[in-house]
Amino acid sequence: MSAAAGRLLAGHNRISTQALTSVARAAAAEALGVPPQDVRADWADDDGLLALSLVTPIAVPSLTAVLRDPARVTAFGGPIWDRAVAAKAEILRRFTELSGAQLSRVDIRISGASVTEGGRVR
Amino acid sequence: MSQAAERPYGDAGTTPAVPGPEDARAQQAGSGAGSGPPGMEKVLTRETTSSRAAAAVIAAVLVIGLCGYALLETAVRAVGQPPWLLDPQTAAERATALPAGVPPLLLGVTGAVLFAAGLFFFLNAVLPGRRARHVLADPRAGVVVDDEVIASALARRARLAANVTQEQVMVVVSRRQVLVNVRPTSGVPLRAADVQAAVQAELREMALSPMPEVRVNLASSGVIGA
Repeated sequence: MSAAAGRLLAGHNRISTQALTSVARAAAAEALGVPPQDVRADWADDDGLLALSLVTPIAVPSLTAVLRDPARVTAFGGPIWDRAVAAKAEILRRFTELSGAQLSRVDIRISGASVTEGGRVR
Repeated sequence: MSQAAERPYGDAGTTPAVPGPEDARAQQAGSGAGSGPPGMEKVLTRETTSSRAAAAVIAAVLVIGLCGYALLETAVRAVGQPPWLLDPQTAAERATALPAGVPPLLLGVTGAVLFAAGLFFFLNAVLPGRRARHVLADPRAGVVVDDEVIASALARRARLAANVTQEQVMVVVSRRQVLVNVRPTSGVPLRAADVQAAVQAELREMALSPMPEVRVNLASSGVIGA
């Protein structure tokens, strides 16, 4: 047998769609500060690579807290738009690291805001 | 037409198949001398090409019938009896004056039928009539394998090389070409060269003759979560 056979052991590994979805939800939840069960993840094929589309709420500080201390917005990571853009790269990196599959795109649709009093300090 | 159809094995159509195995064997093993018992080539040719016996029998029966009838009519005329169906003299006269005396439609239909029959016998005689089988080089026995079996073995190998499921690989084996269609798993890019190398290695081990070429087609879209 050739070198290809020496490198590969017999057998075939597959990662089910469900597992991929769970990983994506966890990664998104981590990046946006929401519980994983609130995140909805869908897969599409993008020319042989994976395209992920997420529908998720995002954690924001309460308005009264922002009024009291405008620096809270910066502490949360800036405006929602900037955070979503930053989260894409974060989710892509984390997902690729965990599953080994290559993402080509991450689409995020923010479906709501979940107000967190405590606030995560980044 | 009968002459062409009645020819035995080893005529123009089948002879190119015979030098093929010898060439391939000489190339891959370098010891083409011990290529089995003397009658082996003939047996292998018989196994890898379809028989012409049926067409030959039909042609022979047609010719025998025609000749028998002509003989009957000639004999009847020689004895001086009235003709059974058609006097040979009248038949010849009618044939020379052919466009006249027969409705054009009937003439056309007869011509078409004759043409179809002629084409059938001609193609049967001239085409090689190969079956979808390959010969495996073996020093002692003659080994003939159906192309489906080869395709199945190659598909398994390609599947392992590409690390995909069974449904994502399709292999088509023809006489001179092996076509491997692979649909990759989304997010796991494949290199066609890897699959090609694996399939080629497997083919080399099989030592088929004639040795087909490998072509790998990667589908552009993948399968999600497979």
